[in-house]
Amino acid sequence: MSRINLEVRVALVLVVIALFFLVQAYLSDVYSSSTVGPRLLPMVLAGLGAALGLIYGLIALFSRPSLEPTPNPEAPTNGTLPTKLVLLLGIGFLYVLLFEMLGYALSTGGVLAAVLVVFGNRGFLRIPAISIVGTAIYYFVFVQQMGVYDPQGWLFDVLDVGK
Amino acid sequence: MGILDGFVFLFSQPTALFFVALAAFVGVIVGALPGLTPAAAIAMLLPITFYLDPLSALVFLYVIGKSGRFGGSISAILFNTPGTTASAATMIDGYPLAQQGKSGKALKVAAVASVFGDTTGELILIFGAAAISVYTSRFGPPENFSIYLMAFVVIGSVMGRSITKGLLSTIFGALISLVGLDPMTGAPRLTMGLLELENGFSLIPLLIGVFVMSEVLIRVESIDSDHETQRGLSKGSDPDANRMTWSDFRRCLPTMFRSAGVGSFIGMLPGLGSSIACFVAYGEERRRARNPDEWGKGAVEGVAAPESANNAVSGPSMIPLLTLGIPGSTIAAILIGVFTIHGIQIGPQIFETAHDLIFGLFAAGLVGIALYGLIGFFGGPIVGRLIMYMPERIIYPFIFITAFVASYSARSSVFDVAVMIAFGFIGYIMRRYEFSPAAFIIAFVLGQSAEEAFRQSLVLTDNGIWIFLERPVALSFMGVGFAVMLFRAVQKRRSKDKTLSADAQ
Repeated sequence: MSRINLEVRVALVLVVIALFFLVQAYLSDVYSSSTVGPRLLPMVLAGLGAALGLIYGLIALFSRPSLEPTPNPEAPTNGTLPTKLVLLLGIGFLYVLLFEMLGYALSTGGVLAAVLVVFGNRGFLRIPAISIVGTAIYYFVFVQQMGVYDPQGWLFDVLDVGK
Repeated sequence: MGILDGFVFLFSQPTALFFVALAAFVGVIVGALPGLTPAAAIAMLLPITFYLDPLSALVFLYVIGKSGRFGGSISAILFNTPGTTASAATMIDGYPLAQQGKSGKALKVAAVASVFGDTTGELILIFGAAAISVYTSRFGPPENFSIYLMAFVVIGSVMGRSITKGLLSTIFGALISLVGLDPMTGAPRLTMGLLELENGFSLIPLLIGVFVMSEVLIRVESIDSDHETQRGLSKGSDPDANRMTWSDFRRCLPTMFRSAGVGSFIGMLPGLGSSIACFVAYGEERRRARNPDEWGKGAVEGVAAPESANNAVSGPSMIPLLTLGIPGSTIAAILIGVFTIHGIQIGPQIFETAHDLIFGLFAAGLVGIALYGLIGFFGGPIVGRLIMYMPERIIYPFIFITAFVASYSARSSVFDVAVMIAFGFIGYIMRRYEFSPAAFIIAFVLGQSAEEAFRQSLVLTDNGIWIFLERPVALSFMGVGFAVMLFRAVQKRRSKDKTLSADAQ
C-alpha cells in the first residue's frame, strides 16, 4: 500500500474519531442553561479535530510524493501490524484478566515468561529463573516497600497457599 | 537570596540529597540505553514518588531528566547509537573520535560540555524565572487562556515534522483531558457511559502508555534485526589519547559558551527541545569553525557544541512552567503531575507559596549537574561497558512488566492498566505515522486548566470571546502563537520546495 493511501486512511480514521467525540459531547447530559456550558469546548475541539483531519487527508491525497524515501526510521512501510506486536498487545490484555483471576504472583510470573519468549529469549531454565526472580523483585519493591494493594486472585492465588 | 535558601533547605533533607545522587546515576544509565528516553523512565518512576516528600520526589525526576540528557552521549560516542534524540548530533564527531581510539577523550569533553551548558541553563532559570514571575503573576483568566492557546498552537506547530499532525495531536490531547465530570457543573462528559471514566483519564497510565509501552511495541518489532550483537567498545587503550587536555578545553570553551546560549534560548521556547538545540548548535559551530574539514571526522568541538546545547535546554525549559504554568517540554509536563500529586499549585505564584521547595529544586539541579559530571568524566567508559552487557531482550520484558505494575500502583486500578495498554497502542500509531506524542501529552496536561480559564474569562464579560481581543496582553500572546505557526508553515513550504527541486534534478 502506498504511503499516500495510508495517510488518507489515517486521516479518515481521525475524522471518524473526532466526529464520534463531537456526537458524544453533543449527547452529554447537560443541565446548565449558560451558553458556556460543559459541552462547548469538547464540541469546539472535536469540530476542529474533524476539520483538521479532513485538511490532513486532502493534503495527503493531493501532495506530490517525494522521490526520496522517508527519512524517519519509525515511519510505516506498509499498513499491517507485525505479528510480535499483536502478540505483545494480546499478552498485555491477558495480563489484565489474569491479574484479577490468579493474583499478582502467578500472573506476573507467567506473563514475564511469555514476554521474554516474544523478545526472543530461549532456554528451559533461563526463562523460568528470570521470571521467578523478576516477580519476586517486583513484589518486594511494589507490594512490600511501597504498599501497593495486591489484589487476591478470585480463581486461585499462589500467595494464599500455606495461609 | 533564594538560591542560598534552596541549598540550606536541600542540605537539611538527607533523603532529598540521596535521591539527587541516585537520580544522577539512574539518569546516566537510562539515557545511555538506546530507546529508553529519560521521559519514559520518569513516567515509569512517577508512582514511586507518591511515597516520597515533595522535594525528594521533584529532585529525583528533575535530575533524572538532566543526567539522562548527558547519558545519551555515552552510547552515541561508544556505539554510534544515540541514547536519546538529544545526542544524535554528538554521534557525528563522537563516534569517529572513538574509532580513532579516543573514546575516553570524547566522553570527557561530552561531560565537561554538558556540565557547562547545564549550569548556564540552570543559572538562567534561577535568576530569570523568579523575575519573570513577578510580572506574570498579575495575569487574569483571559491572559491565562491566551497563554494556553499560544502554547497549544506553538507546541502543535513545532513539535514533529508536520504542522497539521502536530496540531491534531494537540487537539486530541486536549479533548481526552476533558473526559469525565465537568469541574464546574458536575455533568459527565465524553464518558461513553463508563463509570470508570467519570474521574477522567489518569495522567500516569497515559504517560506510561504513550512513552513507555509504545517504545516496547516499537522495540519488539526490531529486536531481531537490532544491533545488539554488534555493540562493542571501540579501541581506546592509549591513555594519553584519552585525556582531555587543557588545550582541548581552551579550544572548546568558546564553542561551549555559544552553544549554551543557543540551547538556553531554544529551551525557553515551549515545544522546542534538546534534539533541535543540538543540531542548531552543531550546525552553527561548524559554520563558524576555523577547521571545518575536521568536523565530522572527530573534532572535539563537534562533541562540545551539541552536548553544551542539549543540556543547556534543561533549566530554561522550566521557565514557561514556573512563570506561565505551561510546560515547555515533556519532562516539565510530567513534573506538573508531581506538583499536583503533592498539592502544589503550579504557576507564577509558586515562588511565593512554595519558595523553599522551588529554590531547593534549583539547588538540587546544580548538585545533580556536578554529580552526573563526575560520573561521566570518570565513569563514562564503565557505564558504556555496563550498557554493552545489558541485553535488550532482557531489559524490554522488564520494562513491559514495570509499565503494568507502575500503572496499577498509581490508583490500584486494573482499569488504569487497560488504559495504559490502549494508549500504548495509540502512542505506537502516533510514532509510526509521525504524530507528536509529546504535544499530545502536554495538551492533555493543560486541557482542563485551559478550559477553566476560558470559562472564567467568559463569565467576566458580556462581550463573549471578544474579551480575548480587548486585552492587549492576551492579544499579544495569541498573536505570538499564530506568528510562530505561520513562520513554521513558510519554513516547511520552503524546505519542501527545495527537496522537490533536488529530487527533480
